[in-house]
Amino acid sequence: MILDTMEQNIVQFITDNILFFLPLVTIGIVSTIILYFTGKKDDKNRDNKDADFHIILLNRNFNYFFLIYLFIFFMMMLIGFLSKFYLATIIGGCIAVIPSIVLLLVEYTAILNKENAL
Amino acid sequence: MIYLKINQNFGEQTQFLFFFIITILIVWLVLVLFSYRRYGWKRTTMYFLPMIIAALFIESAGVASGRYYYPGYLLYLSVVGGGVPLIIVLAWSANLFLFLHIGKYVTLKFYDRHNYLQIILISFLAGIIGVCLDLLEDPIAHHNNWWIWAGSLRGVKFFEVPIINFVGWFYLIFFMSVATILIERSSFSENRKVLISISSISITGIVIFLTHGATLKLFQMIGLA
Repeated sequence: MILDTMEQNIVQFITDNILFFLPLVTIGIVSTIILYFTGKKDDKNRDNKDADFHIILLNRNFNYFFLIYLFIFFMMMLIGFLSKFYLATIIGGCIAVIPSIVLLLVEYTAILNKENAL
Repeated sequence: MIYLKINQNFGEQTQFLFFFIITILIVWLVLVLFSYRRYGWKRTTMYFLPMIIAALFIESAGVASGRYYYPGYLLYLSVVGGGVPLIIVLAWSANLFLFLHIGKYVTLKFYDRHNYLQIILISFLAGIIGVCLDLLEDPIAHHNNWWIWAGSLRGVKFFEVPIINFVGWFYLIFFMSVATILIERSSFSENRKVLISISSISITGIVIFLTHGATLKLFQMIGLA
């Protein structure tokens, strides 16, 4: 069924093998519709505040997910420099550090707003 | 076509693959344990399993189409002909969970209304953060042969990585985030949420397929891909 094609894009690949994907997709859609319309709605919604999870490190409060992001970032930077791929590592690093800066700014603004409100 | 393969030549053709795998494994374990202790196993399944399945299909199709391949890993899985390392599939599930939560955290700082716009904002931020990290990770991965892009691919590249790859990253994380939050916020029982999160991959998959396909056509028209 799956064709031996070289260097297509994924969209072309799926289109060429539509007979394989179509039944899977149909089963998925039908079961989603059945699950959606036959279910009892009895669960209470939870709030998004689950993402606001901090841990204390060096007497400072850090967002847990932010620390994991930084861990991946530093590991990638380290590997990039060890493999002597300097330019791409520096440019990629400058781009990848942007979310961290935004996160710090957001935290800082929130603290300022809190202080102003008091 | 569907297979599980163990490669006996671990690390062949690659550099620092062990460090990459250890990094991903630590991140995945830390996030899964966090999710399990905070939300329980049903929610953890809802957060991680759909992305594992979606990534398996997309990555397997990507390898089978000949655009890239993964040399030197230990354990390979395939569903549509292309072998995908298990760790790559796990990495995708960790990506979604991580970026989704960072997106939620940042969005809530400036927009705390519980509506569809908030879902779009969270998912958009999750996608952007994912792309930012991939702009660092993908060139290093290609340089160290953790995955190798076919040299004959046309279009604009960022250190040998086609830019359409980054668009793909954004769409995958964005649409999977939207689906995950919609299911998470629905009023169904936890069991049903798990089932819907798995069955709805087909719907999210179609949306990703159509959006990515349209973007690709556009990129081809203007010579970017």
